[in-house]
Amino acid sequence: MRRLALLTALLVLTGCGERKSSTGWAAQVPEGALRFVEQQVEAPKVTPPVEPQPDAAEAQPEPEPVSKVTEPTTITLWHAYRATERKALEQVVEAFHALKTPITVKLRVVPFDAFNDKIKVVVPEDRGPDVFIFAHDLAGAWSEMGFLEPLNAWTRPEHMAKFIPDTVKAMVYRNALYGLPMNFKCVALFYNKALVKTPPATVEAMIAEAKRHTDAEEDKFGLVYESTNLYFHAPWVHGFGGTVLDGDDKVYADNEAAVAALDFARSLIRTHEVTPSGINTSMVSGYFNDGLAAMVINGPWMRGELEGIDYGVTLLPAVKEGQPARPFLGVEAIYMNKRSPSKQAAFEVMRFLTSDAAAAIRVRVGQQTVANKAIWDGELVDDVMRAFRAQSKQAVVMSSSPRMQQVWTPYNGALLSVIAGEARPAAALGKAQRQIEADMARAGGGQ
Amino acid sequence: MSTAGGLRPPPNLWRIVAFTVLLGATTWIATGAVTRWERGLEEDRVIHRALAYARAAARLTESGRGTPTPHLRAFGNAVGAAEDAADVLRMVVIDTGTADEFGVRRDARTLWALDGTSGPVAELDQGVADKANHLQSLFEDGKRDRPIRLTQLVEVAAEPDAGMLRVAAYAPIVVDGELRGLAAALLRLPAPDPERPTAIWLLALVVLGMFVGGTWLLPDRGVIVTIGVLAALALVLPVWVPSTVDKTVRDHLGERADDMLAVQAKADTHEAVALVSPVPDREVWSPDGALRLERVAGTESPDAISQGAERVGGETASVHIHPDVDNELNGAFDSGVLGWAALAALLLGLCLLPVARLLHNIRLDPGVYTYVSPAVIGLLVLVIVPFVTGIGLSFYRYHLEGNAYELIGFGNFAEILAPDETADVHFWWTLGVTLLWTSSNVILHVTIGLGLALLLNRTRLHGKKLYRVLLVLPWAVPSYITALLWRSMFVGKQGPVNSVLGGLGISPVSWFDDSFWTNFIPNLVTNTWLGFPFMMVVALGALQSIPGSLYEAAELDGASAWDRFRHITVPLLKPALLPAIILGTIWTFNMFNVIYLVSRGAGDTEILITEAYRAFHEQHRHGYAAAYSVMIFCILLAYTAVTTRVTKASEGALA
Repeated sequence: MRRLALLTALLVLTGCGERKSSTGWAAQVPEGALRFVEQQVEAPKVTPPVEPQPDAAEAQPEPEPVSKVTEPTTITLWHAYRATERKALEQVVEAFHALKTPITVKLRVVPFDAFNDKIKVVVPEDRGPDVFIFAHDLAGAWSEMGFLEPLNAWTRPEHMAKFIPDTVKAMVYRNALYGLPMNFKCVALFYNKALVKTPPATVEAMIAEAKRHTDAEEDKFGLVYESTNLYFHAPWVHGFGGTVLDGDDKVYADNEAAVAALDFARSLIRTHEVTPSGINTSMVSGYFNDGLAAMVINGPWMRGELEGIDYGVTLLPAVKEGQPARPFLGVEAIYMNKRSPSKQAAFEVMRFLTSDAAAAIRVRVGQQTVANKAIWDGELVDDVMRAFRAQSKQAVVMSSSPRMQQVWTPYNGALLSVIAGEARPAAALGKAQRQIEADMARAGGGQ
Repeated sequence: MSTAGGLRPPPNLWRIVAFTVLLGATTWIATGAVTRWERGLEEDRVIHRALAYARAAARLTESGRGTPTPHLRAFGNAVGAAEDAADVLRMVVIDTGTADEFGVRRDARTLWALDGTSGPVAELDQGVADKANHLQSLFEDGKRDRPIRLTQLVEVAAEPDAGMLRVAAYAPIVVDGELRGLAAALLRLPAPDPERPTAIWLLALVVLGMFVGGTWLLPDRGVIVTIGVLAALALVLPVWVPSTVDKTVRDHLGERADDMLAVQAKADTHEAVALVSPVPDREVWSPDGALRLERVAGTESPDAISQGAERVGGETASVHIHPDVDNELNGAFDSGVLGWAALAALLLGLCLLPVARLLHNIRLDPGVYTYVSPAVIGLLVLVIVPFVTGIGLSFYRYHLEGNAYELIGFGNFAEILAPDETADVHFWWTLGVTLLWTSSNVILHVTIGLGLALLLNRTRLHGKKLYRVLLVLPWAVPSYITALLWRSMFVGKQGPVNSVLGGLGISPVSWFDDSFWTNFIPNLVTNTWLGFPFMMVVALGALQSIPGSLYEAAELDGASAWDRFRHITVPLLKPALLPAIILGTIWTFNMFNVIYLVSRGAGDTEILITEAYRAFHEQHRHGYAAAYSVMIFCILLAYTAVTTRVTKASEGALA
């Protein structure tokens, strides 16, 4: 209860101004929702909510109205969380309900794989959720389809200052802010502390270290990662100075950097023989758990699958002096349905879920790598999280353009044909480049 | 027709009643369709009027180099005083503001509004500001290679209670090649005219009269009368419908052009003072070249007009409205489309006779039809509606930008059947893979299933029940779980499959690399595992229904085991196995799970259904994917038709 009282205090502190908001001209309900103007208190020092100061509740004056919503409103929230992340979200919502606003949040779990399909069907029929949490890479497509409420008018630049800048950049599509960032995800280098004493800082060191732990006969490998998946290959592409898809939706599958990156990935398997081929996602954690892999490249989600391994996480090695490998940065965000009938309430829920207080719960219960800067100044985060935070500073925000969807399959095909087959990098990437460009041209916009 | 021989022909009176009811229903539907179509024309006209208003406001702002001029105010007054003022709900000129450090545009301002307000964007206009942001970004792209589509400049939405439509149109304000802001006009589509088309009802009356008269004159020749009436219709409709439609569309385009020219003229009277040179891209809106030339006392040739519409970038720097846009908007009004609709109506008419018989049967035995009606309704909702929607969708192209569908006729099919060289995996290869996949699977399913059934059917086999349960298990486990398990068994040098191969002295195979067979074989193995139990169960059931006495008699006559199999088992299995094989073929043909989960399409092992899925989900090509599905349907339809005929023939031979 104490914790909740503290949260109440925090939210009251955060305060609210007001302004009428907005719906599209042609939209159905131009109802007078209120725009929230947050008076940003200087990044609050977050005390871990587990140990609040005694009398925190009494110390506060009579609570001012926490919400601008006066009518009882139910906000439906869709998410795809499971296990601890789900528990964390449920606790955050509990904390929100403890504020006794007229808003009730109804959570609904939608399977990750079915999320996009469901959204596409229900939102146009006005049966959709008011707010939903999902990875940012579909935000572009959703915005083009008119599902997402632009938050330009709901926020001020200073409200976004509490988030890590890159996570905010990921939320921007076509000049509009489409969500509030919750967590970031990127891959980094996991290493088995029993095998690797000093984690490598360069690829040369990594290969040398990996060779010491490779024994193909016994199925032991120095470095295991999903080399035929662009998501895991991208660090090399960026490391060699390449790009996958730029801000103008131009794809760069076939250039010097991309070829060099693929040459490198291939050499790990063919020349140095420190990486196995034919690896899929579940095998990576399997190898690592069984002590067969000294190092793996994977994201924070792997933590839940590791048991009884003493491991560390560090930055991906530099490809060359001053050229670190840079993974894709993905952001999990909360979005508002453009057709929601209760936008003010929806925004208040979004604001609470992305507040520093809520982030603290999400870190503690769900071990999430949250987007709130203040959390990273506190003591809630452990070394592994810090490693991912450090890696996220050397990462490339993944494009949220719908065009990105057209890159994956052809690019992965090129990776597969080079890494598992006999194709030459330049030829395979050239083919992928032509394929992606043709697909993009066909998919509309162009002729 | 022969099956109906046993039924009593309905009495004339009943036939006339049925015909009247059906004709009434058809006419009612047709009237509704025509009303909707005319409403669509009305909507189109308002859209273009809104565009003209927005464009005029944008031009008058452009002439002030991004700031509203007194002429804009004068224009606003003229609009307010005009007779259609009530329909112009709002007009506004918005400045898009500036981007913050993250690229989010903020602080948009209302520069001018019809009601005289200006300043920070009002709540009502926030949607315009959002739209401006979006267009700004598109415009930056458009300057490179992507045109802005008309559908992106127009929004239509229903008004909450009044049952009316609001049409919002946007026009970019471009100064020196930079987009400075957005002008927007919000118009109301007036409530529909209660007048209903009467021509259709008159035609229906004539047809009814012909039918009643014919039935009265030739009481015993119902079929001939019906055919005669339909033939008369077939003569009238193809002439009457297209000409009427054509006239309506031409009138509509004329009115639309009048509207727009009137708005332009209104703007021009004020602009003429401010502008020295005429604005270059006005021709963009002309509905079609010829019409435009007639109305604007033409000195311009159609060529010049199309050039005007194409002009983009450079010193005139306007947002490029693609010349196809008008066709796109008019696509639905194309008289060709209505010709097709008339043909469809005619085909519907041809169904009159069977439907009359159906009505007659319902009267004879209402109970049966009551019982089947839930199934029929279910079928209608779950099968027919999606099916028809899918077919309709296959004639469209989907544009993600603007979330719009464009009618392109058979374009998707042409692209599927004649893929160009940029296509990675083309249709014919995929079709070949699908056929190989289906045939090899079905052969394996039948061979293994039948073999196991014969083994299990032996009377003296111990533990038969246990085996039977075990062998049906693969069928009972959800197929995606099986598929994922099999994939993981193939993966890896030390994986179970490679270990077994190693035990046999075969060097490990790198499964799921980029070659065809290392992907195809795991798919095949997985699906064989999934498919044989069904064939086994069917064969076993059929085997058990063969009386043992036949075999005993054959044995007495000295038939060998092979003879007994060949002449007793096989012919008696056939009626049960053939439908199972047809079904199995269709299932395998569309076996999405295995391909999607096991090989994931690597090594070009996609089959048609997974290819359609990828087109839909990864490339956002809804129409193309629908066309793929239609192709799959046609292939399976042909297959079923052929096999059913063959089966019938063989059954006939058997008898």
